[in-house]
Amino acid sequence: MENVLEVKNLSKDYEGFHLQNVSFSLPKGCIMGLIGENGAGKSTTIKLLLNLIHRDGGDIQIFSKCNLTHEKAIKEELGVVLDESNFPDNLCARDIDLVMKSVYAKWDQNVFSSYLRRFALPDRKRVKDYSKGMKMKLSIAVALSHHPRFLILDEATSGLDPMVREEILDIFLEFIQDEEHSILISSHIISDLEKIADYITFIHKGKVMFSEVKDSLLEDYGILKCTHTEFDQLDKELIIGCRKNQFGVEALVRRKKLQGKFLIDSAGIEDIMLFHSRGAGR
Amino acid sequence: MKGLIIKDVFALRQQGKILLGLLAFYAFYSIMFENISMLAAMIVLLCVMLPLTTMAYDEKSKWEKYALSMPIERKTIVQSKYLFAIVAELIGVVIVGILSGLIVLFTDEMKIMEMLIMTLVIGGVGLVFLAIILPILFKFGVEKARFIMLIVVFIPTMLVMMIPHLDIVPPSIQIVKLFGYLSPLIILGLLMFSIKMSIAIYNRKEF
Repeated sequence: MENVLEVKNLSKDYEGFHLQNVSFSLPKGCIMGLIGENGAGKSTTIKLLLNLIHRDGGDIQIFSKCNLTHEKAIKEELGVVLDESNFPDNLCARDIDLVMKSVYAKWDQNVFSSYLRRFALPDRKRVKDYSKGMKMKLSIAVALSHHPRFLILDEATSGLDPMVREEILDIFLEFIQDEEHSILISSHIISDLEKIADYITFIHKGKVMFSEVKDSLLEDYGILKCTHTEFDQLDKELIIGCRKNQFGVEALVRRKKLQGKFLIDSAGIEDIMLFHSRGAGR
Repeated sequence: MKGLIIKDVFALRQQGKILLGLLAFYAFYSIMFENISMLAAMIVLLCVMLPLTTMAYDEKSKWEKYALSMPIERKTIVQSKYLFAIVAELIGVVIVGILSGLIVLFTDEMKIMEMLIMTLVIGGVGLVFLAIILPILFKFGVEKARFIMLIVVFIPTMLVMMIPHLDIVPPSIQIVKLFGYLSPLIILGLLMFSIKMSIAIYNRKEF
């Protein structure tokens, strides 16, 4: 399958934080969720994809083109939503329409106004008088109105109420109906990603812990519940992360690797993420 | 480029009314007192402030980060700021020209030649200020650049004020004239160099 995004050995050094050899790829037609705690490197990765910051190493291909040499052509077909509204306060949706018309070659005013109607966004009201949800919807409308093939969303759903998030997720699912379209979405609201993502990439302290198909993650991993003595007898290689309390131990394990009779619950993406970072912190 | 300039114009719309009000006030003032220099100085100052204001808006809304995620090159962002500031200043200079023309027409306050030269000098000074200030703005951002700007404006003013006390032999008329004829070239060169520098600064910037 063709990849819309390929990231290889991406590195970026900051003082006190290093993004190290981040590699993952996103097949065309799929949604990838980028998860990780605050400061794990999600936004850094996205900024590197967009060339907002300079990389210290690695290679990025979007639409099978290098993102440095074909920057402009790539960005024509990219829809980007950042974690906040970035329009100057005193513009209104109508102004933004005019501005974008000269920015994107394929800007479609009809599509934009239909999104404005659908999101019930007043086109004469200034952005500064919009609510947070409205601002986010406006950014999404802008990101979708130039017929993009690939959406990159950085924390697009955080800080919004469940109703608005649901509405926005529906838009994303609609967008992905076209099999030429793909989405990369970073969020720390795992439940949102669990709903829509096909792939999950987990970044922890600047490293990719895993990048896998969501369903196989859910199949592979399980939460083992056992007593302290049972736990002590286990091969520690099998344990990805654990949580101990006075009654027993909960540990994240790969189901297939564990032989014998154990009580294993299913693990959600959130559990997998939490136990992974706990394990890495041991 | 066009999109960016449209955006700056929209962003300044609110301020525009205040600016026009200020201009009208100083225009009225200068006609009443038949003294154009106050208005001219104001216009240059306002034009130098314009890019500062739009950049302050950009910074506040983190617009640049967003703009760079669109098919907009870094150098286009820099060039659009220069273009916007220069055009704004030219418009200002034309207004000064027209007003001082009116004053010349209705009073004998100034000679036509004198008036033309004054307008041009003011325009030139404005451009030199832009050439100095914009790279500083791109490098340090509006917040820090404000103080640096004060110094940039303050030092030349100080020097000019000190000249009479310094017993310097004034340059001959020929040299002043030569400098006058060469100044468009000098200013152009300065602006080109300033744009180059700003682009180099901006290319290294991280968002």
